This record gives sequence, structure tokens and C-alpha cells, in this order.
Amino acid sequence: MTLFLICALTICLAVYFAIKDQQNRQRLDERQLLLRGRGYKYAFWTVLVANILYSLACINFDRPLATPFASSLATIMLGGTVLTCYCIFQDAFPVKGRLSLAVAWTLIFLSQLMIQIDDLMSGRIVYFKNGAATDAAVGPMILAAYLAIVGSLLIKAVIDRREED
Amino acid sequence: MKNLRLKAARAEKDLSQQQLADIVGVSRQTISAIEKGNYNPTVNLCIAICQALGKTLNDLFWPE
Repeated sequence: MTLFLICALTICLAVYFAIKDQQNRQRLDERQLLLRGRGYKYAFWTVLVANILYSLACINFDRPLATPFASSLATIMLGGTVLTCYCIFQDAFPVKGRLSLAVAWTLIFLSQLMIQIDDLMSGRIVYFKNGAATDAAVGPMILAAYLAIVGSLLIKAVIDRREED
Repeated sequence: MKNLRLKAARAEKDLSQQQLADIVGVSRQTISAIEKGNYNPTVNLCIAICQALGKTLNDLFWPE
């Protein structure tokens, strides 16, 4: 039953993102589509290299440096962050709704920040155990990813303002 | 290589990058990239820009 639910959810998400992607494509111009494709390539290589480096590090230290969940999520998040930041700096995201996107990302970042601060204050979270990152270490990773994205948005806004017409 | 002819034609029509971008249906940064020579547009976009500025492909995009 659980497996069926996971499969159904995955299919629903895939269909949703396919439709959303189709809508986005109509809102992106030819240069933005080209750059987005290049961004996917960079993200793919980032994930691949990060996985190889992590594997080499584990072999070198003769033990895993993080739980399987934390390590796999970290590499995927790294790829996602590379793609998002690349698209932001290359201006490869829809022109309309840019402000709402920025507000949404900032809100997610702030809510994540508050969760992390609360966890730290309560002292119930252990980020490292026996020298390996625990599943809870995913929280600060998400925070770092959103910080990079929000930072990129701010820097890009400054660059856009300075750019002459 | 910078496309100064495009910039001049745009200025001639008294259009900003944003206004031209809105007319041809692309982002302002795409027009900026074409003017700076950082992006080679497709023929379709070249034609749209030429129509918006009342110029021919030769006037704006043919190498001198």
C-alpha cells in the first residue's frame, strides 16, 4: 500500500512538473531556454563530481562521513542550488512574477532559519555523531542552499539596477 | 562583437531595451546580450527585432 502511494505521488508530481514546465517554456525566451539547458548540464556534473568526491573521502577515511540520507540529499541540493543560482545570474527564469518568487524564497529561508534556531536553542538536535553528519544536518544544508539562492537574487537585483540601458 | 547598429536603430526609434523586449516578446537581458554581442539570436528573433525597428536583416545583423 505504501509503495503504491509513493508511486502514485511520484507520478502525480511528475505530471504536475511536466505541465508547469510546459507553461514556463512559453514564458521563457529562446536565450533563457538555452541557458537553462546549460544550467542543467552544470548541475548534473556538479552532482556527479560531488558524489565521486564524497565516495573518495569515505574510502580515504574508511567510514561514511554522513548518513546515506544526508549525503544523497546534500549532493542533490548542491546540484539544485547550482542550477538555481546559474539561472538567476544568467537571467534564465520567467520575467513575470519575479518579485513573488523572491518573496517566496525569502520566506522559506526565514522560516527555515527560525526552525534551525529553535532546534539549536532547545539542544535536542545532534548534527554530528561519531564524526559523521546525522540526518538532522540536512537542516543547515537547506538553510545554506536557500541563503545562496536569496543572496544570488539580491546580487542580481543590484547588478540589474547598475546595468545601463 | 558588439552590435552597435542595433543599439543605434533602437535609439533612433527612441525605445528602451525594455520597450523593445516587450515588443518582440523577450526579456530585457536578451536584448542587452544581443547588443553586447554575448548572444547570437535565432533568425526568427532577428526578424522580429527588424520588424519592430523598421530595418532589414542586412541593416542590423549582416556583418560589415
